Order: sequence, then C-alpha cells, then structure tokens
Amino acid sequence: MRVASMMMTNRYLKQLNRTYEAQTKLMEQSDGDKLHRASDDAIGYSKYLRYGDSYAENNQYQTNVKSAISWMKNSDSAIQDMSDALKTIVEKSNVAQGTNTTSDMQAIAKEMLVRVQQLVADGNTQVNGRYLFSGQSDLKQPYMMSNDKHQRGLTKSLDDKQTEFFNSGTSPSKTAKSGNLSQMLTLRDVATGDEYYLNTVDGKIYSKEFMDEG
Amino acid sequence: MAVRSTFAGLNTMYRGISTNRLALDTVGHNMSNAGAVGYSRQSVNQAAVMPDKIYANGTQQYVGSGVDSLSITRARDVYADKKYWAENGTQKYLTTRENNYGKVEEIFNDSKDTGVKNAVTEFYKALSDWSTNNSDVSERVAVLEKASILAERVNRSGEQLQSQITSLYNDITANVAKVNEITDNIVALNRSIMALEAAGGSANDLRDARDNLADELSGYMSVSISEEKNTSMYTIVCNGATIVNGITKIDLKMGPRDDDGNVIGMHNKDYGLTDYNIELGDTGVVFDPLNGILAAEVDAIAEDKKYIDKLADMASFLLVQFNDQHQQGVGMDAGKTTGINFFGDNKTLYKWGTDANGNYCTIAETYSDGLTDEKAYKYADEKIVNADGNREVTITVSGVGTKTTEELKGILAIKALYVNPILNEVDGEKKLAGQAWAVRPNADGTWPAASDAEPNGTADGTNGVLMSTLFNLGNTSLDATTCAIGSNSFEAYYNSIMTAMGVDSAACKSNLQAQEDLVEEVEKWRSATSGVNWDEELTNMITFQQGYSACSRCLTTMDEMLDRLINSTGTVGR
Repeated sequence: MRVASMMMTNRYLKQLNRTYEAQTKLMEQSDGDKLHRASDDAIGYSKYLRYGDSYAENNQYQTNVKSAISWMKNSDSAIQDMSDALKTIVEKSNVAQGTNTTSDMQAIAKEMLVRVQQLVADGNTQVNGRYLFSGQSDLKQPYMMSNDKHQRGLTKSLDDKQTEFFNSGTSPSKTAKSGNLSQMLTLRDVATGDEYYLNTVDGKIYSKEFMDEG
Repeated sequence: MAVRSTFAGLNTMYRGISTNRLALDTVGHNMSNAGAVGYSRQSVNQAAVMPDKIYANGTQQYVGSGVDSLSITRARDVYADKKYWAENGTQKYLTTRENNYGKVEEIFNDSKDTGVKNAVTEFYKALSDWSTNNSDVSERVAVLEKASILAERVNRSGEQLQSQITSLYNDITANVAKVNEITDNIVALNRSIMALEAAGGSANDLRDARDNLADELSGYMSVSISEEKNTSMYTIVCNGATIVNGITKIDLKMGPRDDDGNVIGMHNKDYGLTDYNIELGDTGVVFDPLNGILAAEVDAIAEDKKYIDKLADMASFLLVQFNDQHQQGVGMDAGKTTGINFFGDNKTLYKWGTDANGNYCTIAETYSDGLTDEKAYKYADEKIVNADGNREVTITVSGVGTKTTEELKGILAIKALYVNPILNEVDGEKKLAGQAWAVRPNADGTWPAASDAEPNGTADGTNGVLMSTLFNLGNTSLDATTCAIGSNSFEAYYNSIMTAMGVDSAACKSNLQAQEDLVEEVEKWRSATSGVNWDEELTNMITFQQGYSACSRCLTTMDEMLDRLINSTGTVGR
C-alpha cells in the first residue's frame, strides 16, 4: 500500500499520545487510590460503595454493642454495691437486737443511715447523663432520700388460731410471713389510742377485738 | 506538397521543455504542501499533441509534434472521503459525550469524603447513635447537623448539574454559529469553483479547501455530501434537510424566538433553566443533527436532566417516606410534639402521586393553618401487643385550612429538601421524634381509646431506629407507584445510580477508543491516495529534470543544424 510521508509521523504521534495517556492513568494511582472516578472500574466502584455501607453498619453495630456492654457493667457494679450495703444493714440490725448501750445504738443508727444513703446514691447511678435504674424515663431521678420520719409500727405475730384463720383458703387472704410466723403490722389510731392490725398483703385492716376474739 | 516549416522542430522542443518545466513546478508545489492538512497531491497528465500532416514518399504521413499537458489533476479517493465524513461525526460525538461524563463524574465524586455518599453515611451513623441514646441532646443536635449537610450536598450537586446544562447550551449556540460560518464558506467556494472550472481545468486547491471545510462540518453533524456533475458544486444534506444546495444555503438558528427574531428559549420550571432548540432556518422546525458535536451536546443535556431526576427521587424519598416515619414518633419536649416533618416546610404534606399526565412525582400540599394529627390503633386485634405489653398506635397527619398543591419535579424537589426550621429553633432538637406512642391497658384489662396513647419514656428510640433502617434496609411492600425509589433502600438506590453512571462512562470511553482507531485507518486510506510521498516526488523530479536537459540538448542540436543551414549553406569560396 502506498504510504505518505506525513502519515508515518501522524501515526507515530498518535501512538505516543496513547502511551502518555496510559502513563498518566498509572501516575494518577500514585496517591494510593485505585478508583478516582466511577468509570475507572465500574464494578469495582459499585463494590467500593457497598463495602462502605457495610463498613458503616458494622462499625455502628460494634459501637452499639460497646455501649450496651458499658450499660451492663455499670448496672452490675451499682447492684453489687447495693448488695454489699444491704448485707451491712442486715449485719447491723442483728447487732442491734442484742444488748447495747444508747451510744452503741446511736452509732449503729448512724452507720445504717449511711448505708441507706449509699443505696439511694447507687440507685441513682447515671451513665452519660441517663439514669440506669429509671426504666424508659431515663431523665427522671428514680430514688430520693425521704426526710419524713414514719412510725413504722410493731409487727404482730399471729398465734396458731389466727394463723389458721387467715392462711386457709382464699378469703381473707394470706398475711405476710417471716420464716414460719405469719405477721401483720400494728397500727395505732392517734386520736382514740385504739390498736388495729394491717394485713400488708391486701391492705385490709382488722380491729383488735376481731383479732383477739374472732 | 505540404512542407513542414523549418522551425517546426523548435516548436516541438519548446513544448517538451515547457511541459517538463510545468511538471517540475507541480512537483515543487507538492513538496511545499506535503505537510499541509487536507492537501491532495497533484500530477500533470501529459499526452502527445495532434500530429502534423506531411506528404512523404507519395503518401500522407503524420509527424508527432511534441507533448502537451492535458490537465493537472489531484489524486483524491471520493469514497474514502465519504467514509471519513461518516466516521468523523461519530468520533466527535463520542468525544463530546466523554467530556460530559467526565464533568458529571466530578460532580458525583465520592472517592474523597466530600460527596453525597459521605453525607448519607454520616447521617446514618448519627441516626443510629441517636436512636440508642434518645435522650442525649448532643446526639440530637448531631442528627440535625448531618441532615442539613446531606440536604446541602444534594442541593449543591443539583446546582452543579444545572450549570453544566447551561454551559452546554452556550456551547451549542457557539457551535451553531460556527456551522453557519462553515456553510457560508462552502457556498463561496462552490461559486468560485464553478466559475473557474467553467472554462475547463480543475480548481484543485480550491477543491482541497472545500473538502477541508466539509471535514470540519462533518464533525458537527451527520452530513451526506454529493457533487453535482454539471456545476461541480457540493450539495450537503443532513437528516433529510438540504443545508447547502450549490449557491443557496439554510442557516441553523437557536430557538424558540420571539417575533423580533431574538432567541428567548422556553423556561423549564422543572429544571430551573431555559431550554433551547436548534431550528432549521426560519421555519421553526426543530432540527436533529443525528451525529457529531451538536447531537452529542443535545443528548448530554437530556442525560444530565436524568441525573437531576435521580437526585429528585432521592429527595422525594426523604420528603415522603422519611417524613412519614418521623411523623409516627413523638418528641421529648413538654408539648409531646408529634406528626411534624423532619425535612421540608412545617405546614406542608409531601406525597408521592401522579401529575396531569399520569407520571409519578412528589406532590406538596401546603395548608394555610398547618397540620394536625390523629391517633388510631395500628392493629385492630386487641391481642397484638408489643414487647412492653402495650398496643401500638399510628399517627395520621392531615392539613387544616386552605390547600395549595404544587408538583415538585426535578430541581423543585431538590430545593424543597431542607431541615424543618422548627427543629432548628431554640430547644427544637427536643422535638425530634424518637419515641413511639403506646396505649397502656387499664387496670382491669380493658383498652382505652387510641387517642389516650402516651409516649414511651425518653430512653425509647424505637422511632429513631425505624428512621435509620430506611437507609440500609429495603422495603418490599413499596413499589414505583408508592415510593420514588421503589423497594430499594436509600443507600442501595444511590449505589445503583453511581454504578450505572460508571458503566455508561466506561462504555463511552471504550467506544471512543475503538472509534479513534477506526478513524485512523480511514485517514491512512485517504492519505494512501492523496498524501505526498517525498521519495516519489523526488524520483519524479529526476525524470522531469533529465527530460528538461534532454529536450534542451535536442533543441541545441536543432539550433546548430539551423545555424549550419543559415550561415554555412551556399557560400562558396567565401
């Protein structure tokens, strides 16, 4: 075929340009990225996008799990602390039942108060500004130390006849038990001085005469 | 008896010398123009002239009288030209489309962290973090911030596409002017060539110039060029319309125009720009160039509008489905705000519906008195309860007051994407609806009315979780008639757009490479006929040079013979 002189030089220049194009493409990758635009590798780009999504999801999953673990750990340590405080309270109440001087009782009372305060503080534990033991309303403080002094009243242990009356069948309902003894709470009417007994399970109140005579 | 003139031989030699000189001049012309673009080599066609009649030896004899140049013709392969014009149009088309893809890929560049993809991922993270820490104010603020970044990036991509379309229209206007200039020049050359060739001969250089112009024109549109036999003028036809017919031509004009002939264009409110057409002269008929740069730019504009539509679909999903989910939840503020939009205007309901032609688009219903919400049980069956033992409630939002409806397509949907200003007010982040409503059973086991639902506590992020799953989980209960992105998740839809763009762009690039190779082959074919080969010309030059020398030698010999005749014959004894 007849070849013109200019044709050879034009051809050479075109091929040279192609080589430069390929070289530019390679040098573009020198910044460490294989994909600079979607057309560099369309299927690879689509994978890159999907991997990005999965990566974000996985990271989010890990973050969520970490925050759940921290929640659990904090709850665990708070309850552990509360459990220790309760143990101390039980110990001290056993000690208080023995013979003690007034100052002993005062010391015991002070320590028990401190433990109760510790219980309240643990119950109000916060993580990130949210209360652990407040359920879903995590911005409301769950426990507060009350300043009221209540006459708790004495407990009345029921004797056999009374136990049998209350604890057989469904009506009247059972009373609270402590060990083998059935117990009810003694209430005193401030005005008349009469005594009444409260079944703490169902809230029903019985007069002293009823309890004694039936 | 006819006698040949004494000096007839000199005439013959003179013809030989001058023809050789002419041939040498032509060789020189070829050599000088070897590097000129579009030059076709010229050659002198020599032939013997009509012989002289003499009587010799009792019969009529014919004596040759030398050589003459019949014509100077250029070597040109017309078929190769036609092939080149067709392939050049395709090559320019693909080059222009590749340029446009390059710009669109820059707009959607996600390989650094400045694109829409990054904004979507950050928003998803912020939503997930918030849904596990619903009551944390700083998480809420982060959600609103990432949302506004996402809205801003989507808007910015839309604007960049708009400006790309506008610059393409400007380009088309400039190219149409260029095409008109080229056809003007072709018409002028047509005239000149006809005039020059009317007297015989071939106007080679003017023809080369005309073919160069035809090459250039073929890059702008798909042309079919033919030469009229009698007048040697070019007739150029494109897509059935005769653009150049000898000395008459039709201009291409931008339209639509007003009565004074000024170009006003058509305002396209869906894309927020002015559309123009290419029209054939003053007929007002829209002209489709079929191939070449002009066709590529028109196609590129249509493609860019499709990308704006895709962004609009994404915006629509956020305005319709995402807002719907946000409306189901309740905020942690004292007013128990529910049923408000996350994106868009606070007094507008966004729906996915049909326009007058039955095409689906976002419908925005704005109510003068704002929106109100109503609660209803999600499941009529009392026994279906959630994990807390409560019954779930759905919120239905409706408008109050006079309604104005607007169809949001294209750029309008994108512009409607902004974070609800209510959420950006002071303490507005508390209105972000993360908690779900629930109806708790009465003490006796019966269920109150749905309107007595109470929000779950501030630790509940149920609605926040549902909002975040819209991004990475698809919903097969939705399809194209109910949701802009169908049953895909938001991230999956975006990925599919980008992948399609990548595939289209890579295909265009590889087509362009193949086309460039093809055009190179055609050019080689053309130059095989019309290109100048120096060795060939120089070899021819030797022929003409030696021919010239031989003719001069012969002429000198004749001169000497005549000299002897004139000066030495008949002088006896002198």
